[in-house]
Order: sequence, then C-alpha cells, then structure tokens
Amino acid sequence: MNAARAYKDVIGELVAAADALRERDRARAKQLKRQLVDLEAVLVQALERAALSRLGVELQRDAVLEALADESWMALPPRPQPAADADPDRLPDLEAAANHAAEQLQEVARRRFTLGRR
Amino acid sequence: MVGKRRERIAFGFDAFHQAIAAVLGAAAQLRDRAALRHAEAMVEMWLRQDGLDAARSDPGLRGVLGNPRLQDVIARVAADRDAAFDDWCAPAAGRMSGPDRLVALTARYGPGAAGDADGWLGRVSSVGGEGPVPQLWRIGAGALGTSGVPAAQTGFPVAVPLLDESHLQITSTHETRAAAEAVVESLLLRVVSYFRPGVVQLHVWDIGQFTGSLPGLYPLTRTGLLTVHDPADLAGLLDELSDRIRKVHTRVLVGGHPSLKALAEQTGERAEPWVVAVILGNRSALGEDDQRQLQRVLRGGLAAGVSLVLLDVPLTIGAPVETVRFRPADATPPDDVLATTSMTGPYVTMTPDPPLPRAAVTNACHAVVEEHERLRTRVGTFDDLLPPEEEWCTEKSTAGLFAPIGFVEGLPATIGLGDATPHALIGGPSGTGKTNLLLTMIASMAVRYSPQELAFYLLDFKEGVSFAQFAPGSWDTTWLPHAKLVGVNVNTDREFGLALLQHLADEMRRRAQAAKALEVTKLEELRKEDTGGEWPRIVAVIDEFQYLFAERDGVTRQATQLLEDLARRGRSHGIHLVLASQDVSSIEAFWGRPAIIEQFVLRIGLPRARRVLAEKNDATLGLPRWHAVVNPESGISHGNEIVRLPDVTGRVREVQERLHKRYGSDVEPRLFDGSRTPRVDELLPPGEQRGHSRRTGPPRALVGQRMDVDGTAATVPLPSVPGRNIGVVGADSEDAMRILDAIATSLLAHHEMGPGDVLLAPLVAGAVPVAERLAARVGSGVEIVRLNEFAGRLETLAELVVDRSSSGQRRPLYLFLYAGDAADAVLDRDGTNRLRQVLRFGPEAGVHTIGWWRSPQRLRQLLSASASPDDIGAFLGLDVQGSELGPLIAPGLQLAWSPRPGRALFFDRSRHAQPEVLIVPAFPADPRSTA
Repeated sequence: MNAARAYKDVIGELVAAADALRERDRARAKQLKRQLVDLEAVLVQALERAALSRLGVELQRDAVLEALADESWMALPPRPQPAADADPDRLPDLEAAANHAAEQLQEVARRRFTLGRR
Repeated sequence: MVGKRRERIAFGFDAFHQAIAAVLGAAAQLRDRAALRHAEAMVEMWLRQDGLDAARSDPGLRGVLGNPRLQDVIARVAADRDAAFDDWCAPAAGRMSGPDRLVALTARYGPGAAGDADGWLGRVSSVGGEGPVPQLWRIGAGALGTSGVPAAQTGFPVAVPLLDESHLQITSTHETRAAAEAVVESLLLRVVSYFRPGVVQLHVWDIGQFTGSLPGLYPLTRTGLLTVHDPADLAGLLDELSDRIRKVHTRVLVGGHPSLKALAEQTGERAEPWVVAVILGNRSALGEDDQRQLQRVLRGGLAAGVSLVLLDVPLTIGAPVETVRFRPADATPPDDVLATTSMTGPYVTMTPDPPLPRAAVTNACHAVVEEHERLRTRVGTFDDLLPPEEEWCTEKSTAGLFAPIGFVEGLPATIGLGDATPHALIGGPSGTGKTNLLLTMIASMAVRYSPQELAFYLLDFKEGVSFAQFAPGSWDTTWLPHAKLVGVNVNTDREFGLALLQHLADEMRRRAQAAKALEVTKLEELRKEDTGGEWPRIVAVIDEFQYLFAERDGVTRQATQLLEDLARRGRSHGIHLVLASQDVSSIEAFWGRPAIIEQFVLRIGLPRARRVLAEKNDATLGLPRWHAVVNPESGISHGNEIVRLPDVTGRVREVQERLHKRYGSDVEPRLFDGSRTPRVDELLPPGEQRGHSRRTGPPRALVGQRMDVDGTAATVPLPSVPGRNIGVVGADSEDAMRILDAIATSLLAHHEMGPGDVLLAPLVAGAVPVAERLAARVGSGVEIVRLNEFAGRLETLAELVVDRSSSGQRRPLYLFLYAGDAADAVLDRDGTNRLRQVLRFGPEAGVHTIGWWRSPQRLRQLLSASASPDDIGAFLGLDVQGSELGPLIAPGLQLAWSPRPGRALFFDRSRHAQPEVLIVPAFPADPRSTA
C-alpha cells in the first residue's frame, strides 16, 4: 500500500473523530442557543426580581428610619451588606421576614407616645 | 422603662437589618445565579461552535476563558473533546494509537535521513536508485488541534511523499517565509543525504534572487548536484525539465511501462536519476506561458522522476500534490511558526522542524560533494551492469532491446534498440575503445535476453579477432548462444558483408510474409499472433563497416541498396543494425544517402570521433578515455549524454561461459574467418567426405566455398552437354592447383573411376608433384600425362570423343590440364585443333576438360578458330584483372574484380548473371589451412 495513503488513512480516523465531535458540538450549541433564550428571560426576571427586592428593602428602611426619627439617642448604622449565605430560593420568605421585622420595630417605636398620654 | 424601650428598639433594628441583609443577599444570589447560568450557556455555545482550540487562540476570549467561575464549562468541553479523541490517541490495550501508527509508518517508509528527527545530517549514503526508496519525508512534528503544542501522547512526525509520488506546494506569509525556506532546505538535504550522491539532481529557481535562497546547499553546485537557475529564465528550467520528461518517455519508457517507478519495480534498477526542482515565487502569479509549461511539467513529471517543490507560487495543480500552509503562531512566543498540511488535515497543526544549523548544512553538503566526486572518478565495472544471475535472460524483447552500456552519475546508462531507435551508428578512432564498447553492449544484452528473444550476427572487418570469442575455438569450445553468425578477419572479403546483408534482407522478407499472412504489420504483433513461432530480435553488429563501402563497385552498390532497405524496414521486423567505424565521414556511398543515415537514430561517439554525431555537435572532441557520447536523437546536441564505459577485458568470456552452460545445447554459430582456408573435405556433403557416396544426377565439381552466411560449397554441374568444361585463369599456380585438386577430389568422391577415367596433365614441372600427390591419394583410375606424352594422348582422346559421339557412350572422363597454355610448345596446329575438338565436343560425349591457363590471352587464342569462349561454361579468375576476364566470361560484361590471394572470381555461364567471389579451398593436407 502507498505509504502516503496509509498515513492519510490514520489521519482520516482522527478527522472522523473530530468531525463526529464537531457534529455533537454543533448539536449541543444549537441546544444551548435555544436554552439561552430561556436563560435570558430567567436572567431578566432575576434582575427585575432582585431590583424589586432592593427597592422594597429601601422603602422599608426609609419607613423604619422615619419611625425612629425621634429617637435621637440612637446611632444609625449604615445599610447592611447583602448576606452571602442567603438562599435566593427563600427570597419571598426573607422579604416577609424583613417586612415583619420592620413592622415590629415600628410598633415598638410607636409605643412611647401611648405611655406618655397615660 | 425608657431603658427597656430603647433595648427593644435596638434589638428590633438589628433584627430588621439582618432581615434586609438576607433579602439583599438572596436577591443578589438570584441575579448572580441567573447571570452565571446564562454566561455558562453562552460560553459553552461559543466553545462548541468554534472549538476549544480556536477559542483558546482567540485573544478576545482570553479573559472569559480565564474566569474561574467558568472553568466547569471549559472542563466539560475539554473532557468531551478528549473523550472524542481517546480512541485515536490512547486506544484500549492491544491496539496502537494513531500517533504511534504514524511514528511506525514514518519509520518504515521514511528510513534513515528521510524520516529520522535528528542524527541524520552529515551522513553520506550509499543507497542507489534501486532503493529502498522512501515514500515519506519528514518535515516537522504534528499535534492534535490548532495550538501546535503537542500533548505528550499525541505528538507524531509529519511527513510528505515526494519522489515518484507527489509534488509539494508550500505557501507562507511574509512572517513565515524564512521558516518555509528552512523546511525546503531540510527536505532537499534529507533527499540528497538519503541516496548515493548523483542519484538525485536538484534545481533551484528563485524569482527574487540569483543566489540568496537556500544558501546552505550551494556547495552541491560544485559537482552539478545542484543547478541554480537564472531568475530571469524560468522558461529555461521548465524547458530543461520538459526535455527530460520527453527523453524519458521516448527513450526509457518504450516498453510500455507507465513510469520510471514501474520500470524500476520490474527491472530492479533505476534507469534515470530523480530530479527535484524548487521554484521559489513571491505569491504573484507566473506569466501565462510559464504557467502552461509548468502545468505540463507537473502533469508529466512524476512518471519521469521529476518532482517539483513550489514555494509561494499560486497555482492550481492538476497533478498529485501535497500542500503545506504556514502561518504565524497565535499564542506566544510570537516567533513560532505553525502550519497545516494536506497530509495531516485540518485538525492537526504542524510545528516545522527547526532550521538546520548553517555550518552543519555546509559541512554535510561538502561531504556529499566529495563522495560524488569520488564516485564520478571511480571506474564503474562491467559487473555493476549485470543483473543478478537468477534474473539473467528473463526479459522480453517484444518492445525492443534495452541494456546498460556504462554509467552516468554512477547510475547505469541504458541504450535501446526498438521503435524509437532502430539502428545504431558508433564512431571512434582506433584505440578509443570501440571494440570494448561493442563487447559491453553484446554481453549486456545477452545476459538480459534469452536466445529466443535475441540473435546476434557479428561481423568484424578488421584484422582483429574480437568477435571470434563468441564462436567455439580450439581452446575455448564455448560460444555465445545468441550468436548465429560470427565473422572475423573479413578484411577485403566485402562480399561476405554483402552476403550478411542479403541474409538479413531475406530474413526480413520472411518475417514480412509471415506478418502478412497473419494480417499484422509489426514484429510485436507477429509475436503476439504467432505464439509458437520464434521471432527473436536480430542485432547485426558490423565493426569497421566502412570497408564494405570501400570501392566504387557492384558490392558497394548492392550493399547500399540492401542497407537502405534494412534500415528502413528492419525496424518493423525486429532487425537492428549496429554499424561501427573508425571514420564514418569517409563513407561516400553512405553519406550520399540521407535516407540511410536518418534511420540510425542512436549515435554513439567515442573520443575524437568525427561526423558520427550531427554536424555541429562536437561533444566527442573533449571526451576523456573510457567515455562516450550517447545520443538517441540522431546526434543533435540536446540528446548528448556522456557515459562512462566499463572495461570488459576478460569479463565477456566469463559471461559467455555462464550463458553457454544455460543454452549450450543450442546450435553453435557459423564462424566465418577470412584468414582461414576451408578444406575440400569440409565442403563436401557429409556422405561424400569419405568417398563412399554415389549421388544420382550429374557429377558436380567443387570449385570453392561461396561467400554466403551458410558457407556453402560452390559447384559446377558437369552433365554431358556442350560447354561443360571448367577454366581456371591466372598466373597463381598455388591457387589454381588447389582448385583443380578440389575439383578432382569432389568428382572422385562422386563416383567410381575406372582406369583412364581421370587424366592429370601436369604440363609444367611445378605441377607434377601436385598431380602425383593427387594420384597417390585417390588411387586407381588416375593416369598422369606428362608434357612430352600430351600430344599423343590428346590424339587418342580426340578420337575417343569422335567415337563416343557416334556410339552414345557417356561414361565420364575428366582431363585436368595443369598450365594448359604450356601445351602450345608441344602442339602443332593439328594438335591445337584436337584440343579445341575435345573442348568443343568432349562434354556432350562425357569428356570434360578442367584446365588451368596462366594467361587469359592464351586461353582466348585457344578458344578461337574452331572453338569459341562458350566451349568453357564455367570460369574461375585468379590473379587476373576483371577487364581481361570479361571477354572470356561474357563479352560486354564490365567486371570489377580486384585479384587477391585465396579468392577466385567464379562465373558459371549456365547459372550466373553476375560472377561471384569464392574462397579457394585448401589441399586436403594443406599447411596453409588453419583448421
């Protein structure tokens, strides 16, 4: 057999493997392309959801600060850093818990005026 | 109370801050997770689309691929990729990996300097053209992917086919040109180093410079291994290459072989050196004419051993070609050069072998050149031209006869006798090795073809006995089985040369008739149709053939006609002429007939030979001894090839002995030796040699040996009809008496003689002992009549003739006159008339006179008055001029006869239109006979 032919035959196996890989990669790329549409929506949704959460937190904090406006003795700490270990899947629960904490704090702040009137 | 409230507020605020930190953290995580998933998908899509290697070599993606958060994706893609090539790179146990198989292939088909990665430079090889011929030549290392960085288990040699297999087209960029040139230089050096110097010839043409490219190889120009061509003359190189291709097809590949490679596979010998021509372009298209010619060379080159390496010559090639495309490396270091090749496909990147150190290249080239010089000055031996003995006589001569006669650049140089070169003309002054060349040619052909394929007719006009060794001799009884006829010492016997030509013309006619009967036209077709017949190619070698045309006479005229016929038609019927001469220019008859000379396409000129080549081709003038110019183009300069000739002294005999051992039972060749005189008993038919044969029909007097290829006896029938007497004319008593002796011996062998049936009349003293010896040899029936008894015996003989005329008695009686003219002294007018009477009326009464007369005038006188010239029907002229014999033999016939010892001009009125020359036989115990 011609040596160049034999050489190319060996390379041919490599090319076949590479072609098969490329074919698989192409199919996977197509699949990923489709997935990306969903992932983009998920991303946008997540961004919006995160922005909404941040806005809610800001509004709650503003409300809390307003409720504590008369508490001159109190040194206000800076806005807290996002907790690194927070579970994003529990965001609604965490929001509810924050809401509850804000309400409780506001309630405590309101009670001083009631005692004064007695 | 206030304190407690403040505590509750502070606690509540901390709880609130923790809660919103968790919300902010969860929101950020939610966003980041979505972004990461998106990014991962995006990156994987890129990697899948473009491939990991391409992405890695893309500077824009460097930051992305370096992101630690994306490493999982990258690792996943890489794992898929590795898994895909696992079977090729690292297969299961028991199977070789792809890289290992490529290593093994390169080692097997690219041995030594062809495929070794290192350690090959500087070695000088002795591998000849017969091989083994590498099919792969290493140019670099390959690696899977496009990065060019081989993983430990995936690196392998990259090699390309070249000689006989493929051309090579290399493209480079401005940045990679130097690396590409270095690869070309390494490749050429590998080729030159692999073979014995001279087996490969290199040509370089660079559009940009006279001498700048491939400077390391320049030492090779010293002995012509490398030719650097003028940048302005690409056409010159292409013409040279196309001439070479044409030459190979017309001279070497005439046996139907498609390529030199196929021919070498069959014969085991490389007939022509390889040529590798490098054309270094500048990425601009060549001119249209050059492109067309280059395409022709590319198409026809490989079959003729011409491979081209094109660097930066944009061209679409319609021939087997491998490509190498150089590019700068994408990654660091920036000076690295990578390439893709057609051998390795798109998924392999080649890193070219590093340039060879300049000093080492120069030293290697010097070593090659020195060896080449040594080989060129070495005298090639005759044994180098012989095939292995088991391959002797195995070739077929269907398409022609091809055999090497010497060496060109260390390779055997072959000549051919066939359709393209039917006949050969060899010229060389005395002492330049003409006989040596002829012996080489004969022996070289004889060892390649069996006697069924090749027959020789060998004729040497000069006094040498160079061809005598081909016939059985007294001390060497072997002969060349291919030889059908060997003629030596022919000298002045031009008639024998003529006889040879006539024999060949007859054979040509026989072949033509056989071909016609089978409705074919050429020998090749005849052999195909008539498988049972023996139709060997015939090679007639005539040394010093100019002697054949030495006189302006009938022999020259006939020889010229026959030669013209043979030269023209012999080609078709497998009859080839090889004429050799010291001086071709002196042959008037030959040069006056361009139709003859044109057929002698193969010319071989030895040193200082004149006119054997074309008129303006003086290549022989500067030739050293043991060299010849072989020119298969009718002597035109471009066909010159200078061949070094071996010395065959002593070797031909050994070859002959071995051939004789194979075919010794075949018929031995006929030997014609001009210096040898045949004895009468050799010329007599076998049954008559002992004198016991009694043939029917008229007695036949043996008068000599004819100058024909079979060496037949010349006889004169002596029936009882008028004119059946024989006259021998000439003063040379020796030859005359030998003829008379031969006649007497043959007649006595033919039939029983009674007393008085043979009268020997030695009329001069010198003839008496001869007559007595003859009488003593043949015994009874012979009567010797001396001069003083002659008149009286003649009287009774005349009366006997008269008696027989009336009685019808026809018993043969022979009167031998030794110097018949001497009888004038003892015969009066009546006596002379009686002799005339015996001559005129004797034959029809069975009385035949066989006489020797010393002078044509005296015989003419005798044959006047009551006799006439036609009373003697057969004449043999000895040392007598043709003009004197003419009136006796046939008035009006112009005879061009130059007397010479041992030869007689023979004319039998009853059979001849033209006289012929005979060899005078020896006495049975003649000391002049060499038998």
